[in-house]
Amino acid sequence: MISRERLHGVTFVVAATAVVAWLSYNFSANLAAKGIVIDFGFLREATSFPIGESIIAYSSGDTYLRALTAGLLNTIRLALASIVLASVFGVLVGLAARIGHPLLTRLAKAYVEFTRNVPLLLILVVCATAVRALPNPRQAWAPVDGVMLSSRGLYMPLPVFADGMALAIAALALVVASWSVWYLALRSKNETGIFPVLGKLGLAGCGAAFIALCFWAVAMTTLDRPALVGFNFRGGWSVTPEYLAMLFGLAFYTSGFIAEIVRGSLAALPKGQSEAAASLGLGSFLTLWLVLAPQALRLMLPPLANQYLNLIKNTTLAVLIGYPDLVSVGNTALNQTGRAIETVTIYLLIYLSLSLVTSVVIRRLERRAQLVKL
Amino acid sequence: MTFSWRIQGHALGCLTALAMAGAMLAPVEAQAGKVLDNIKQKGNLTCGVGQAVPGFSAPAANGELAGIDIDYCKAMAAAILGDASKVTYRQTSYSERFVLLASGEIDVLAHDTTTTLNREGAQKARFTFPNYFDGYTFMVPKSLGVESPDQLADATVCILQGSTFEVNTENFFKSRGLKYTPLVLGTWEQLDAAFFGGRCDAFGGNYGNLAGSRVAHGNVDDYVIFPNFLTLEPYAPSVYGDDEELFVIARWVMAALIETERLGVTQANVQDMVAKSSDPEIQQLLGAKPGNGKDLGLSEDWVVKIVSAVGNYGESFERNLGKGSPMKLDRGLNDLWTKGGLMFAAPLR
Repeated sequence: MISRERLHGVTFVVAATAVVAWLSYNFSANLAAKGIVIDFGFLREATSFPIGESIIAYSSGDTYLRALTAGLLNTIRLALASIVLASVFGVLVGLAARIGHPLLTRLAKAYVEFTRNVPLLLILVVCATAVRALPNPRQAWAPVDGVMLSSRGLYMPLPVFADGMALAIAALALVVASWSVWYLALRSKNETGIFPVLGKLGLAGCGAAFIALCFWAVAMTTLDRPALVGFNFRGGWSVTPEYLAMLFGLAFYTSGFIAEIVRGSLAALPKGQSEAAASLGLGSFLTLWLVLAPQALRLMLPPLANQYLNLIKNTTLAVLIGYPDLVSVGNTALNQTGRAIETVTIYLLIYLSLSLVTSVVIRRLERRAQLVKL
Repeated sequence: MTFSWRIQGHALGCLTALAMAGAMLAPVEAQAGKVLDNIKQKGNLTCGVGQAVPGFSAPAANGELAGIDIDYCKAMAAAILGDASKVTYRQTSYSERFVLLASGEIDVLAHDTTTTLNREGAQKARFTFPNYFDGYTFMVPKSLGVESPDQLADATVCILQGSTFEVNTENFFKSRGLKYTPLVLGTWEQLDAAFFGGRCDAFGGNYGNLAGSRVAHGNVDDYVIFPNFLTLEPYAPSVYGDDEELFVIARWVMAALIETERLGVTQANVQDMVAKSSDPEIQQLLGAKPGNGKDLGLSEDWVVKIVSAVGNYGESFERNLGKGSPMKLDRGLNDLWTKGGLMFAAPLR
C-alpha cells in the first residue's frame, strides 16, 4: 500500500517530468523547423564594437568572450558597491527608527515608505537625469581642489606610487614581521606569565618601521590629476554618471527594505534583553553593540540574503540607463551575431551562479551566527 | 458480430489512409508558403515596426502610427489581403527585431533596417528593394564649434544599441586613430534625453533619424548634422527566409511602390489610369493587362489596391519625411534614378 504522501510525490514528479519533456521537445522541434542551430563558437570570434567602461582592458577586435567578461565584471563591481552602500544606509536608517527620538523615528519611517513604494525604475531614471543635469566638463563643479563633478562623471586625483611593487613588498614584510613578533611574545607570555622585553622592543621597532614606510610612501607618491583635454577629462580616477546613477539608485531603493529588516529584527528581541543589559549598567550603545546586535543579526541574515539577491538581479536595469553591464554588452553581442538563444542562456547561467554564490556566502554567515548550545 | 468487426476494420483503414494522405500533404503545404498561408488564413498581417522613429514609424497627431515603414506594411496588407487596414503593428526595439522575425512572431519587418550581409547570411532575413537610403553621420550642438567629425577626438558619443551604428562609430574613430567614449542606449527616446540633456558631445546615427530627433526636440537651429555621410545605409523591409513566396511578394510590393511613381500613377489618379491609360507599361503594372498578379499568386488589381491605400513611393516619402512632414527632408539619394537618385525597381513584367 502506497502512502498518500508518496502518491502525491510520485504524481508531482511524473507531472513535472512530463512538462519539462514537453517544453524541451517543443523547443527543439521549433528550432529544427526554423533551421536554427545552437552554437557558442561566436564567443571566440572578434567583436567590432566598443564598451563605454571596463575594469579589464578591452577594445573592439577582442573576442566576444572578453567583451562579455568585461560586462560581467561591470555587473559584479556595481552589485558589490551597491550592496555595501545599501547596507550602510539601511542599518543607519533602521537604527534611527529604533532610537526612540520622535523626529528620527518619523524621518526613518518616511524614508522606508518612500523607497519601498516608488518603483526602482523610476528611481533610476530620476538618478540618471539628475547626474546628467550636472554642468558640462568645461564648467565642471569642483567642490575640492582636483575633484571634478560634471555631466561626464566624477573625476578625482589618483595617487600613483613611483615604485608600487617595492612598496607592496615592504608593507607585506612589515605585516609578517610584526605578526611573528606578536605571536612569539604572546607564546612566551603564556609560558612565563611575563610579556618579554624583547617582544616590546620588537613591536616598537615595527611601529617605527611603519612610520618610516608611511613617510617613504608619501615621498614617492605623485598625484595623477584629471585635466580637461578637448571634450573631456583625462587622467585621475573616475566613475561615469551612469555608474553613479545605478549605484545610488540601487542603494537607495534597497536600503529601505534593509532598514525595515534591521528595525524589525531589533524589535523582535525580548524586551528583557535590553532591560537586563541596562540593569547591568550598560549604556545604550554598549547594550546595542554587545547584547542586541549579535542576537538581531541572526534574525536579519535570511531576509538580508533575499535583498542582496534582488539587488544583484536588479542591476540588469542598467540597460535602460546605459551602464555597460552584462546584459547591455550581451544585447549588443546578440545583435551583432544574431545568437539570441546562446546569449540568453549565458545570462541565465551567470545570474543563477551569482545568486547561488551569494546564498552560499550568507548561509555560511548564518551558521557562524547560530546559537551554540552549551 | 463479424459484420461489425469488418465495419470497424474498414473505418480504421479509412482513418489510416486519411492520416497518411494528410501526412503526405502536410510538407507540400509547408513548401507553398506557410507564413503567407497563415497571413491569409487569419486575414491579418503582423508587421514589426519601430518604437517612435519619426518619419518611419511614430504616432501621428490622430494617435495612429504613420511613416514610410507603416505605409509599406499597409501596402503588403493591401496586396495580399486586399485591405490596407488588416495590419497588426508590433512596435519592437532594435535589439529584438530579428529575434521576433526568426521566431515567427512578426510576418514582416519594416523597421528602418539596414541591409547587411550578416543579417541575410547568418540571421536569415530576406530584404526587399530598399525603401530609404540613409547614411551614418553625427549631430553636435552648434555651441560646440565643431565643423567636421574629425574634430571629435575624446568626445562622448551617444549611440543606439542593436543597430549598425555601434560598428560604424567604432570604424570611424578607429580608422582615424581617435579616442572616444560611447554611451549606448536602446531607444531614440533615451538617446534624445541623454544627448539634448548634455550627456554627450555628439549623437551618432543615420541622417534621417537624427533629423527626426532634432525636429522632435524643437530647437532645430541649435544643432548641426554633418551633411557628409560616412557610410551608405540602404534601409529595406524584410521577411524571414523560410517562406519564398512571401519574400517574392515582399520584394515586388516595394518595386510596385517605386514603379508607380516613375510612371506617374498616384493615389488620386490610379482608378482613372487603370480604366483609361493606353500606356502598355501602366496597363501591365495596374493589371488592366493581366499576368503579374497571377505570377505572384495575388489578385490582378494588387497594385491598384496598394496605390489607393498609400499612394506611390514619392507620395509616401513627401507625406512622412519630405515637404508634407515636420522633418522636411530633400529627396536626395531617395529620388528616382530618372532624377539622379538611387531609387529603382526592376521591371514588373
